[in-house]
Amino acid sequence: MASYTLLSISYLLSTVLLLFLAFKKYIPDKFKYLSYAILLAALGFQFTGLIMRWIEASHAPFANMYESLVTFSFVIILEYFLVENLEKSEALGIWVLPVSWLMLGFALYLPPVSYLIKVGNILLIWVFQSPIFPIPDRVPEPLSPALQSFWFQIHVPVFFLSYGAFTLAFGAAGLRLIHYRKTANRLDILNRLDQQIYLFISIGFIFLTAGIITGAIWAREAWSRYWSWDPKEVWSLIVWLIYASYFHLRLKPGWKGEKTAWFAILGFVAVFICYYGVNVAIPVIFKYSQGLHSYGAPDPIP
Amino acid sequence: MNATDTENIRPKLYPKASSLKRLLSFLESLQFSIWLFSLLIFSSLMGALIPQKETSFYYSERYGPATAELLQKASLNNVFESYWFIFILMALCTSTLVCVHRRCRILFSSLNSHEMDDSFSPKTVIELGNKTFSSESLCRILRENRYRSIHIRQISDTEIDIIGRKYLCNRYGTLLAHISVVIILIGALIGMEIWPWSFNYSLSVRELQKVVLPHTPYTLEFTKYEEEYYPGTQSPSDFRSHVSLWEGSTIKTEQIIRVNHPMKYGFLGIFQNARNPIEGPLIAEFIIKDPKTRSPLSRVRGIAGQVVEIPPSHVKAVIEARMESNYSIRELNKKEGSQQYVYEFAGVSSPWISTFEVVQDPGIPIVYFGFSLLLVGLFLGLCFEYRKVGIKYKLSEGTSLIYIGGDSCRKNNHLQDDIKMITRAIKELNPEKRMVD
Repeated sequence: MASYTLLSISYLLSTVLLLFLAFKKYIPDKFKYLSYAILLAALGFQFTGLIMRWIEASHAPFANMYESLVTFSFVIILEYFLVENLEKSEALGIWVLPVSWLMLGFALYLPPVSYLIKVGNILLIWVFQSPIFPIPDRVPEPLSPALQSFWFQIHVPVFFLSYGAFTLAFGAAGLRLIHYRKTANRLDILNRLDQQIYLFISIGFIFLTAGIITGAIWAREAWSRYWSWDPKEVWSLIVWLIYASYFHLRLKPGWKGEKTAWFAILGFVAVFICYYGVNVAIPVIFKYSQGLHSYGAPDPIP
Repeated sequence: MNATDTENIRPKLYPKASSLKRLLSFLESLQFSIWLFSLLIFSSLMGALIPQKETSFYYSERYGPATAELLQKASLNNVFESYWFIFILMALCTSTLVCVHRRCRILFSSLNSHEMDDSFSPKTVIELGNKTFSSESLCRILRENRYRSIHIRQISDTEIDIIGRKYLCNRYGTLLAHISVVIILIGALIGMEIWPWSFNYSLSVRELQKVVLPHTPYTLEFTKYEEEYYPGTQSPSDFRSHVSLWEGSTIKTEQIIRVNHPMKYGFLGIFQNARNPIEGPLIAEFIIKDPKTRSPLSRVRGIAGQVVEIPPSHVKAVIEARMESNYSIRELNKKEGSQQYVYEFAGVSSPWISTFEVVQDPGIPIVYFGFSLLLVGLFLGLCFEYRKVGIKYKLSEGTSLIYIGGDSCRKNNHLQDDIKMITRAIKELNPEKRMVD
């Protein structure tokens, strides 16, 4: 699997980049370009890896959990890269890159590397009689007839773009709430971060709406009804409502800044439940099936 | 021009407002919409975390009899079709409608009013010595910053008021987004199964069976089932049901239903759901050939003993099974001089059952219309920030004073950046201008 090797290289590069960011204070400024170069190289390897996977599987690389995690982590880094060039805020990377790094690592190396998750799994198996982080299936599968649709190519990437933007908003909110908590006098930084959160959530919200709408149209073609209150649909509605409340709450006096930044965090938690939890965690914890969106779920190991 | 301000002044505006007005202002309030959002989030959470539409036995097994009874009484076993959930959605619809009405009023009144009021919050005053300005040069500066001057008032030679605005599409966008939510909810209401025109049921049909579609004047004939696999695997790559729709004895349409490719006839949609092989008499297939050229004309399928119609000439024929996998076809009531066909046995297949979802929902075009409005509205509303800038120029006692203020729908830094740009442009305005003026 050539794609696997390429993705591993990109993972290695991301790890180097993360270390770079962690020790940024002690590294002279001229190394900034080196970090850019590493980021670009990682993006390039990951992109090539995705294309290879596309060719190997002969369908777009987001049909199961492994492919979805790999593509999602790529979209997050891509969006971060674009934003970093537009907004000049490298600090975002401190929050955003680990999310992407964790997802890629989870998809690629779960059994040998992530001991923490493994220990967690053992505990969870003991509690729930089933692992909450099953190993994603790395073998390409043929596309089931339900996924053979024009909307599959549109619906899933639109959601990735949306979730990626929400991850950026989460990163900006993290910076706002933790890194710059004590710099209350730096109003310019705080204002800029608030504005960034607003920008990222706006982009995410437009794509989220587009994703729900394309999903509804696809559901009408495939399952006969545009909305059937399937758990995934309900969770995406919850995410939509949380961010809609964010837009409305901002209009209330005293609700800009810190309070609304918490909404970006809350929204991101809901996004993650919608993306991962609905398929894997909720069926295990609450012990009932996940409804119609079951393609993404890896088979739990008994 | 912004909800916060109206929010704060409204109670003072109507100290003795009628109860209807008070009700309306409650319905359109931000407070109420936030409550509705929270309620919706909470009830959706309940609906997502409690398994829905299960049997009462399931609930008492899972939660214990007492909790199960409580759940069912509060219709938490079917949240999304419960009366209280639909009530919340209707409240949301009403609130949005009232809000849309208010937004329209504010939008159109603000389009006509060009007063520089107190909402122009960040006030900058520039002192520019004895430099003088014409309204044209100030308008040009606004235009360079992509502001359209909507109001120019030359009070005297020494006093000018100018108001410019940018990205008005934002206002229309927000309005559209709110209207679209109402439209989507109305479309969903029309599609609810409480009306005679909307229905939704699943129907299992055996191959070669003809069934009456309830609530419609049609009958559905399931003529043939086919499936294909990915080479060397057990996973199906495609499955197809050939069906035809009849009204009385006339055929309305003949289509192949696949997953993702339903049959649509008017508002009626028939969708492929499950499919299963069943035990039953085998289906024999014959190829009908032209006696002279021996070229295949068509195919007929049927079980032993069934009377079928031979497609080109509508001659009736019966399928006979002599022995194991030895089938033949015999023409009945053959007319004089009619064409003699050659029948070739093409094998037998075991029958299948297809489950079809039959859905009629006239609300769909309305919902889709709402969807497109929502997308356009959100794009305009979120990608552009409506801004209004007012410039007041005054020449008193030989000193030029310029006041700049502005207002934006989000009070983000963009407006301040714009004001900075305009201020700089005014300061840098060519001194030669003075002689021209």
